[in-house]
Amino acid sequence: MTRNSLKTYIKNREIVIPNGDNSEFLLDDFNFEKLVIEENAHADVLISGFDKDLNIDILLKENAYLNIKGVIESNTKNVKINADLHENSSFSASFLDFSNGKVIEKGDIKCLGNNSSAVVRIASLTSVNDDKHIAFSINHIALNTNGLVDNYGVCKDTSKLEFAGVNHIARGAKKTITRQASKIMLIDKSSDGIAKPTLKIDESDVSASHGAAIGQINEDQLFYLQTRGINETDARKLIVLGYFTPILKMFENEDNFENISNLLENKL
Amino acid sequence: MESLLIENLHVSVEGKEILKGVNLEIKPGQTLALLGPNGHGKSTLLNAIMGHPKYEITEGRILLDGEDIVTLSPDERSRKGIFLAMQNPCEVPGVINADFLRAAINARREKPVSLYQFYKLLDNATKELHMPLDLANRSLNEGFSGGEKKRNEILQMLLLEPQLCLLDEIDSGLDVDAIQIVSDIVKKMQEPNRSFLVISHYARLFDLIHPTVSAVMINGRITITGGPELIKRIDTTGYEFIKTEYGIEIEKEDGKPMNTVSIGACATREASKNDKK
Repeated sequence: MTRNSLKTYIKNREIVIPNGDNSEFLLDDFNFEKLVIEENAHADVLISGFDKDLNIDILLKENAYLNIKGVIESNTKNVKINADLHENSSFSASFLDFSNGKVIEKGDIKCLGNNSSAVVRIASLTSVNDDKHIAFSINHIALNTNGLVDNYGVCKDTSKLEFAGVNHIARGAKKTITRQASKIMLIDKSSDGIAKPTLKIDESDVSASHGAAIGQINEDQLFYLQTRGINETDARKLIVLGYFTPILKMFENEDNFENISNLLENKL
Repeated sequence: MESLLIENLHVSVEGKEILKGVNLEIKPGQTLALLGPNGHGKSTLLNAIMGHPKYEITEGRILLDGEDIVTLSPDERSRKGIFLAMQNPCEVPGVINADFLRAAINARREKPVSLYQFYKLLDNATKELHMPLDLANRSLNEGFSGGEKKRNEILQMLLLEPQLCLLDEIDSGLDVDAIQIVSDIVKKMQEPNRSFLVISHYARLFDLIHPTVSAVMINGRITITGGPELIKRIDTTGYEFIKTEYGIEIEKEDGKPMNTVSIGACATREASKNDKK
């Protein structure tokens, strides 16, 4: 897939995808503060070189569509994404997180316009002394909006991972459908996983759910793979790689997909 | 494979003894039908042969071609030629069926199978089982119907070509046509160097695969052995004759108490006394 660099769109520290534009973009320059998707514009953005902090405000105007994804690499310590969604707009974000050390990643997405929707998927791998706090939240303010935050985590080697997003439905935000879910797999006893999906609901005519699951590798799955001759180490790797599949799938049409898969396998 | 010999096998699960001294032999080329009432240790025996960590062997030996395999891991036993088609195959989300099958084939080869050769093998096997090829691109057993899971077990057996095949109620959940397809494959794989140990509660499967020997497990032990005529007798009269002719009291399956369940709510709303009905 050939992508146009967003570098040429940066003006006064803003990137504006014009009205009616519909294209795949590569975001490889972080010298901006705001990303605006104009009315009826569609943008598919792959973040490249995500090896530093990122702090951006995103604005989706009416009928705008943004799909943004990236692999968060070792040196990133802070990620802050704010997104305002206007009427009929659609926001989708997918991140594979391979950052190291003490890391904070936050997102605040506001469904300001009727019929707007947001989907955020994050898969985070923590290892040796990593301490990560990840909180992507969705605020539903208008009518008939949809929100989903899906967090996946794998912790090993004395690391710590916390998912703490909050989905809020304001009074008057009727017909909202929202979900905040977190799943963490602990590879060994020295790791620590905390899943705190929170719902704040101030309206009655809505559908809201949250889910949290923390556990070790399923022993029955491990046994099943071993009964087919796959040794325990490879079986554990297969199960953990499988855990990341829902997010990995978002990258499978990208030129660097093989690099991403190899990076994940090496980290495991 | 030469033989499987089980000597005085005692197996416990979570501290409770299930197998209480099993003695059994399967010679090369034999198909052994393992019969017995529910809860008397048949599946436990198969899982113990395969090395499930939950099943603790407290006494006895399992000799495969003269070698005691009790200390071997499940993958080592698999690579020695043992295959277990499970009663309830588990789902492994995200692990693509085809990737898993290729890894399993390569686990027992020195040189990995080529992609072309693998897909050729897979294509032939799925055609034999009347399975759509796209099942291979789905997550392992995830979203499969009960019948599809059982057919996926037989698909694996076809591709891995084991010497000792343990089939745990492979017919449960299969319709009449599917039982015929599975039986045809079992019959095709029956040969002088391959043995089968088959658990089923229904004569139909045995009518199709023609076991050469049979054994009845009662109260965690092999009580009687015989030929195909034993299967017919049990299908006709049940297990009562074991008490009358052999003086063995058949223990009832444990009535397991319900697990303690806690039910709670994540959100509550207090109804005001002034709310209109």
